[in-house]
Amino acid sequence: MLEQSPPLITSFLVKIASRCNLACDYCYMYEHADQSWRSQPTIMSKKTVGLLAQRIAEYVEKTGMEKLLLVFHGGEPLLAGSERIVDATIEIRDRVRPGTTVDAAVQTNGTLLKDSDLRLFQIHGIGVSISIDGPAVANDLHRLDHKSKSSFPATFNAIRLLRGFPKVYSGLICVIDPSVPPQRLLDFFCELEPPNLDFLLPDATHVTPPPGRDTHPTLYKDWLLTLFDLWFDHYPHMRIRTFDNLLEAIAGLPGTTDSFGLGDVSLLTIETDGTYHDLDILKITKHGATSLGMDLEQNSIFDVASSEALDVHRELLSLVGLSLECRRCPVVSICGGGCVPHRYSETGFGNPTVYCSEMLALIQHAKQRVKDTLTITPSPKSAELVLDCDEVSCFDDHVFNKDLLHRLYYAESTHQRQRLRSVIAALGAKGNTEARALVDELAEAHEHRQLEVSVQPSIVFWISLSEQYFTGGIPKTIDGDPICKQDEYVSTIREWVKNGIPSGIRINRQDEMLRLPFGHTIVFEQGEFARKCEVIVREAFDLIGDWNPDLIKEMRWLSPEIQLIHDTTAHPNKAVSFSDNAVPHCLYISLRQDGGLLNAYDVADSLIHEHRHQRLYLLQASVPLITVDAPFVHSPWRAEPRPPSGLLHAVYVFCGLLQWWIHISHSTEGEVQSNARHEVGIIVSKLNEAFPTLQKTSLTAAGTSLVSALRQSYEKVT
Amino acid sequence: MPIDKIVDEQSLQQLADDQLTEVWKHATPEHPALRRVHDKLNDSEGAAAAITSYDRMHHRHSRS
Repeated sequence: MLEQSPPLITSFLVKIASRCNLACDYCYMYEHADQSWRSQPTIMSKKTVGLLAQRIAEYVEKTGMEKLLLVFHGGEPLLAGSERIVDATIEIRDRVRPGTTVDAAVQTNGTLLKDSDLRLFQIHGIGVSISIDGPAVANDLHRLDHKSKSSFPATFNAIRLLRGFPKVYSGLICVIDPSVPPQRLLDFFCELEPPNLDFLLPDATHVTPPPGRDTHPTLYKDWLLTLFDLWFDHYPHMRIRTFDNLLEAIAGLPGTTDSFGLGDVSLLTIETDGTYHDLDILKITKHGATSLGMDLEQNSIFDVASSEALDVHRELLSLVGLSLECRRCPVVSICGGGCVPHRYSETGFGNPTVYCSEMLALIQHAKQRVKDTLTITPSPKSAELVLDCDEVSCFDDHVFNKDLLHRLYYAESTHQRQRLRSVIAALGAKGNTEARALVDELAEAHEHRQLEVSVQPSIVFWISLSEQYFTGGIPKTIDGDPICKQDEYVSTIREWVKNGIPSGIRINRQDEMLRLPFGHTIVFEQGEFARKCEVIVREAFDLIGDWNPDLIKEMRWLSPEIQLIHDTTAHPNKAVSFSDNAVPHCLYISLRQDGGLLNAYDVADSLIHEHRHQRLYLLQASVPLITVDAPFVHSPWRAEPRPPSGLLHAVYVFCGLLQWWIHISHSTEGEVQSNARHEVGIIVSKLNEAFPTLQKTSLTAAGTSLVSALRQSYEKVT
Repeated sequence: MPIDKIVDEQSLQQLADDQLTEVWKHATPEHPALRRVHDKLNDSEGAAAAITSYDRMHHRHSRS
């Protein structure tokens, strides 16, 4: 037996109901060896839910874990009603120590799912995944009700409802039947746009082999390879967990499912009677196979995790627990011996999976496809622009360095134009007629207009958002909420291509693309208050213009968007402005402080500050300044250690602000002058501390050149 | 070993598993599925999942 600490249980499969309103003929719960469901209570009682909450709370306290997952399962979990699922989730969330994240999801056949359930799940952050085997003709092969009627219409309707709740829509699960053409399945699922899709092999063992394979030995292998190729060539944007995990395993990443790769036990099942059980699918092997002989009343989760019964399963997920044949196999690190229940024979689990030949063929085939597809191409931006160290050293200039900035800006906008072209072409190919029109309009527009439009902050964000959807990602706000597709934004881009970008600096423009990433954490100022803020921002620009007219010109094209914000998490006496590279060239400026507003001098400071970040982002996009962004170093402006790139940004920004405050201290009187002198004193003392630290970090030759130039300029003015 | 060296010396077809991982990590795959793995290898999966995050707003600027 292995001598190690107990596994960490992070997922809890809660059997809230033990019966099902369907009678799927392959179900591991009712149609295989184990029949223990017959003696289980139909629904988990409130008392058992309370005990479970208590046990999970104890376990969280003991292990210090920060995140766990509850999966409400059955049978059909909605037989227990959505309220009971929500109540159980609330009780467990209330009982665990504060700061613990309790994710929750329901795995359902969908036939009982109602709009009101989904509203409830949305309020309480509970995801829903639906089991469906494809279009009606495929689904009806196995997923019928107790009267042998099709479950498809009700399940399909549930998916239609679920798609209206993107925060709740977790995914779809399909058990494959090789008599259904793979193309038909992919077409069907592609239309439903699942955030995740799982294709599961029918549960089988060496005792009960996969159906149909005795007469057609390559049935599953041929089917799987066809499915893989179709997906790889035509649907790779779809996140098919089985294939994504396979590619990850080929890349050497640790396994996240028990289908591929070696791993550890991390899931515990709790039946409706409060007994603890091992992996649910083991029910296919023999009666009582999942029983751990312990229950919520008598035993803690830690007891179960430390039990010998679980240790046996654990060993099967390690190399030493595999059969000799598996250990000698060249793809063992990828396959990991396959799904444990599928290894079962009369002699136990010391065998390769019953799907060994299929797994081997699929892994070798997928590996070859990866090798044939991967190419090494240089980054387009670095190929377009080469700067020497002398040029980079000029970047410390706080004056308008037109030629250098223009070259950097040209490289950046050329890169963004390429991304924009690809995204609108892909959208057009998917049938978006506006995108098709935009492809032509962009190509016909003047080169300057093409580049100018492509690099606008809102459009760069829209490109990133669209790219994520094409690669199967679900973009999220900083609050973790999904961001919906914004295909209709194409019409705004068309307008800009046709009529040009609105001139001048745009303050607090109403454009969702500038605001979506920040969720509810960042509030965008509105109405009369926003107008008051805007007056001060314009005063601040006038002050900057009086000092350095060239800087205003530079800001007009390099930082053309200003958004007026309020950070809800900031201390009331702090006005927190920020920049974010997800929306480059947009400055997020806060004016609220201590119940009042910043004055124009301080707002000018914020504008110059964030603009300097944008300037340095632009240089970094073409010229690496740091070789290794580690180890973290002390920054005089922050309590916590910062990566060297963070300190470089701070030094770059404050070297510019030093010149601003020196100018103000010379050109004003009274309180403003005294404040300016105070700012100068603080910046000087912090730069004195920061320069030696920064010069010890892993700067590139260009980075060293820039920092030396900054230091020389700094020493001149002080 | 630098990635260009690996690719110079051997074709992709002959790469050992760990070298394939290195190539994948440094490639710029346009294929969406390969791109997802590439991002995960470079530990930017989190960034891809959340298009921005509070931590990434690393140039927050406080005036107090």
